[in-house]
Amino acid sequence: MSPLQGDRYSGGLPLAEDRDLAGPYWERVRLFALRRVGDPATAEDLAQETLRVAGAVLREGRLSNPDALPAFIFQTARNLCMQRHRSGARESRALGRLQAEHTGQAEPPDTLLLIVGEERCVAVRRALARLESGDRQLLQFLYFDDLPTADVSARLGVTPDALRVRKHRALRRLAVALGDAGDVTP
Amino acid sequence: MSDVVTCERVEREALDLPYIRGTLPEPLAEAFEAHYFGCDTCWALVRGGNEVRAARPSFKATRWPHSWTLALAALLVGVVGVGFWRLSQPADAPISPSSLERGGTAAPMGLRAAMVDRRLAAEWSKVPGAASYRIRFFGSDGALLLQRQTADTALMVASDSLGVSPGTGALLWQVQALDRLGGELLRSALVEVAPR
Repeated sequence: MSPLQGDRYSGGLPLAEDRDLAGPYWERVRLFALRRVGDPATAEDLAQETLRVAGAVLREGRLSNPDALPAFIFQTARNLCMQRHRSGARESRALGRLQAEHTGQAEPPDTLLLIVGEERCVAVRRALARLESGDRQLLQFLYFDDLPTADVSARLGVTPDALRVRKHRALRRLAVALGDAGDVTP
Repeated sequence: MSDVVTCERVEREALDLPYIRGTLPEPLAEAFEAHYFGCDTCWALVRGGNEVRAARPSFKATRWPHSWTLALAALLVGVVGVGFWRLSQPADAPISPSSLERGGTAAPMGLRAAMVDRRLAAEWSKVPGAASYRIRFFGSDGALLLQRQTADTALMVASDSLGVSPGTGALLWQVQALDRLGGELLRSALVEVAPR
């Protein structure tokens, strides 16, 4: 995986000195933060701050066990999100009430989707069109139609175990079609 | 954190799907996040699945800026004003071809739709200046079955979500081309979906 792979989604990158961490963690932290704050720009700020803190800890040699890095980044992101949540909770509650009154919308939006830029969506649609129909149909059932896995298994006439394998393979072939082949783990 | 998530559990319970759909209970969602921070295989499921979901033809990742509310209000005032002005004109005033196209239902937009594999695939021509399209499906009794909005010029929906089975009953549809503020630029004729 390229250290700059985090640039896939729209938005800025972390500071140069923290880019080594950006490859594996930038997207994960952004998605994690987005689910909590609901705003792509704020999520990006939090991801940048998380990687800045993690980079500083690594440079200062304060993390003795490299295997603990994912857990450390997770916990740092969690703490920063909680801090942001506390300071903004009152305001967001008021805004949320106001918005609900005006729109009558009670259901939360598909927040995680906001992290995927329009350009990437277009690329994914093109890659989907290039997949074999079996792969495309499976992905459409699972991710376009949000069907339960039992229903998808029944429709495709495969066992749940076989469906799991086919889902992995279909996503891997989609990643290849998108040019992310080196970014995909078996 | 009360839940422990492993790759085996992710596989067995397909945790990635409810997670990206936003329906995984919070403690479990957080445990899953702690897991995928250190697991490339499970992260690939989340990232790939979320990208495919985001690429759904009906999804558009935009928000309505608050500042547009004022612009919309100004537009509405303008539209109402023009409406009153037109009402004040003589009843036998000639109607120009452009007014027929914009306000009527006969504008050609190259609509094509067909049922394929329990899905309805629809496409239409791009309208210059249109920022999005509102697509509406009606039953033979005129009841609105489904409404979607997209920036694309194609749409695919499961026939289940229309409440009809392929080949049964008439299904009608119509496309409205909308500008950035949601104002109607053009409206297609109401046409029947070709049965398969």
